[in-house]
Amino acid sequence: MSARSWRAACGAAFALAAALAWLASAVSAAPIDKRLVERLDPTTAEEVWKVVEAAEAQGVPTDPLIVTALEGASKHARPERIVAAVRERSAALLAAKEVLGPESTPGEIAAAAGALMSGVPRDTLARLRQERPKGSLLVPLVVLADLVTRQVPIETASMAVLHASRLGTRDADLLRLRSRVEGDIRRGVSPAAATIARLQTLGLGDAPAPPTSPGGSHR
Amino acid sequence: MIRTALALALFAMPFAAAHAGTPPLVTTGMAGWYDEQAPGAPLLLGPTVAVDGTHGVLVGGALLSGSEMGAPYRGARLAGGWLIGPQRHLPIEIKARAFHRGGPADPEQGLVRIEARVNFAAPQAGAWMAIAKEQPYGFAGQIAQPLIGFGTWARHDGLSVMFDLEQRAGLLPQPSKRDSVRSAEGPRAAVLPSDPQEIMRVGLTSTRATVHWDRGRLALESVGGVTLSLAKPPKRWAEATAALQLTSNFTVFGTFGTRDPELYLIEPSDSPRSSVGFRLSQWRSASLDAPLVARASVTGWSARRLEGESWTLAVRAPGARLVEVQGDFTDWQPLRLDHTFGDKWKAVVALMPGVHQVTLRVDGGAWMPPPGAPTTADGFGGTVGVVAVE
Repeated sequence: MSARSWRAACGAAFALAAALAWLASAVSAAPIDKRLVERLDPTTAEEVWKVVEAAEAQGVPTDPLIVTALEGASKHARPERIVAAVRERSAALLAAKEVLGPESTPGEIAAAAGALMSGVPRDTLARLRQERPKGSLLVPLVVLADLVTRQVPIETASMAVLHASRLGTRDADLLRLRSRVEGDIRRGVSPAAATIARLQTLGLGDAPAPPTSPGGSHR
Repeated sequence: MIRTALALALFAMPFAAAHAGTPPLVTTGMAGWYDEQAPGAPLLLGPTVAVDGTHGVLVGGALLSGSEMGAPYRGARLAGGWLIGPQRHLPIEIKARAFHRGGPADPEQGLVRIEARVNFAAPQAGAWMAIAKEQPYGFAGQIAQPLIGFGTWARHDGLSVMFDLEQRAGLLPQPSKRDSVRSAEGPRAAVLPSDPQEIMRVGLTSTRATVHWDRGRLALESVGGVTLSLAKPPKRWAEATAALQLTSNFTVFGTFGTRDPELYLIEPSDSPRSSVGFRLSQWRSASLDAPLVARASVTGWSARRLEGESWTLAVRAPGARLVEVQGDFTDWQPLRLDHTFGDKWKAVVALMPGVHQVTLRVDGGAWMPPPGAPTTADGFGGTVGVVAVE
């Protein structure tokens, strides 16, 4: 084979390989979720989809990300705000998965991500998993995020949920505690005082003192 | 010109309402009464139809005598309201209404009116200032422009009260030359007398107070008002209505008293009347008098598993016209709840195991977490309710 025909063969092989690579990438790239296409502008949908694909590669549940984008569209958020919220949710989901471990359910991971986004530290989630290595963390995480959202200082909320979990409190009792704290706050009791008082009246024994005063940090 | 604009606005309202949220709800109804003073055929029927969207309402009604051949009059009214910027601090409400009567023995006459209200609204109370333009036709009189008015309202649980006042001025023929809009005898003069001595200037102040109460399947409403004028003695009127919901889509009602003078434009007499009727819909009231921004609130809510992934979302919202839910399980699109009885609403949704975000909206107001539900940050600076499904 002459040098000239060799170069031509190499060129053809290179072009074929490039075409195959392009075809493979085009085939393997999943189409953008229909809901995103219908509710977002094309650029935003594409940006969100990139975040979704990256999350999927890391084993993170992706439906909460799509739903976050739809929520942003529903609330008429600006496109850049929607993409930022999806990225924030993706990072929180990844962190939650790492903290809770591979055995965690998608629901637990989503609830833990919500708690992280409310300001709950990762350490609290890790300790909660230690307290309940087998049981579901769904309700404790929901209660924790709710208390923090209601301005209960993060340390006090974390202490309350960890303490209740340590004592083997049932989910129904934990939800009842949350409900009573909400009622107390509505009646004007300070969030921290309401949490501590209700923890003690639920038959959980003497709750440990919170690490900060009731007027401490609020997330 | 104004009639054309009004017709176009009213025609567009249901489409705009449909575009803004969930599909509009259509209500039909019928009322009947006996009026001895009505000449010809004293049995009268008043069919109504209403289209209720998230931010807009359109109500149409007619007045027909029992005997078509002997009918000395036929009347119709069309009214609509549209709320602009419901989430803003000062939402604006555009209201339009038209009355028309006419027939073989009755010259055509009527009134079109368009009104803009600026609302100062809090969740349980509010006030508004209004400016309106009226264009009567077929009457011997002129209404000076513009009309101004204000009103205030408050509501708590199932009780609501409202007060409004409107000031208008106009030119009318002197009493000896003036025909009455309530007279059904013969054709009416449609122009003012040419002699200025036969014309008088009048100022009219109309006030109205409404008290509404509903609990469970029963709703009671009392409306009364007085029109003060320098030229005439005060005109007082009052009407009471009781409505009982028998099934989720069937309500019977009865009224007694004298009506708002505005309705005389299409009614044959102003004598006190008793009427009975029914409504076919989930909608509780076809009244457009209350401001659209005066919304009910959710007082209770629950989520209960039916079977498998089917859950019933139940909401209590006294006085609500429309209750919607949205969350991740609806892909964040509004889903209208069905009105069951009284103040109870429900929807059946599919909830997979995990945590679900949920918000509720009443009468097109702001989306809020359900009362008593756990909450969490939503990632967009707000708060949403949470349902945990194991």
